Amino acid sequence: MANQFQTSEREMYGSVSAFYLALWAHVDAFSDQSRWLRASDTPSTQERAAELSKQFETLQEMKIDHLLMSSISNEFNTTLRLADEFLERGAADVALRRQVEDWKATVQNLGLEFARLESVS
Amino acid sequence: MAIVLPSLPAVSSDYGYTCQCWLKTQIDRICYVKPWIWFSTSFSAWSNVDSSNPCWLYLDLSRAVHQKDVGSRLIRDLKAQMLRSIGSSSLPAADAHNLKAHVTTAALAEFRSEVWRLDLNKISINRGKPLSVLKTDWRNNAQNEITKNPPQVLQSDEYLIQDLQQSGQNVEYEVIIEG
Repeated sequence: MANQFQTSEREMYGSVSAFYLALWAHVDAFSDQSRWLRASDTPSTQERAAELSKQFETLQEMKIDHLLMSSISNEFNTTLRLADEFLERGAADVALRRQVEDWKATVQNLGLEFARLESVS
Repeated sequence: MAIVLPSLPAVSSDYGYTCQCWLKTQIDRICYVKPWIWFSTSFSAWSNVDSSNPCWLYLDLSRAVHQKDVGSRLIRDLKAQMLRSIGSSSLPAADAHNLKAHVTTAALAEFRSEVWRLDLNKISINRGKPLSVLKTDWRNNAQNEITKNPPQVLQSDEYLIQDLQQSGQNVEYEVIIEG
């Protein structure tokens, strides 16, 4: 029973971590910043957005605390909004570029932290 | 007798340079059959943005490792990238979990920087293709990947090799700086 609980908790942390890192990768793909760190192809913007929606649906089907799920939902929407805005006027808007960089750091931190929780659960 | 004044030779563009992280190389080789390698034909590719300049990447990563800067942006980007690679691989769940745990808890020393040099002429001979043709292919690889994701910009000295031989008898690179 304890093992089963441990496994489902680990899976939950793993899925949440993967989702946050996918949010980070979605926005990161617009910049030159970590291109040289990529060892495989990056899907197009539309493909990434579709994949994110699919991952979000999977999270909704998991038994995740509703406060955490609500936070994930907000962060998902913010990422999509910022990505759209960046595509529209990112080249000219310095403040927006800074906002996007800060947001990337935020979702990346969350992804790394949930990965750490997965590794110890 | 008059001395012959030294004349500066042109810098060879027949080599490729890239900066890699030791741990990421190991993870990539587990997750992908042929991990992609981005490179420039000059080590100090200052005409490129910093993130596409092997010299800058080396300085940034080497400094972070030696100064034990766990909060370094590059270290965090590397971790995130490795976790993404493991997550999208077809590894069995238990192996993926163990690898992710390793990446999450790895000592900073495992992020050791390595500068690789690719002997482009040797690669051309090995593959039986003129270097000019291969360079065009590698440049196009980079361009195609970048075009898919605007507003990324192709840098003036930037190439992408998608099938670098990284093991076996015909290894196509050598590590020229470690750490």
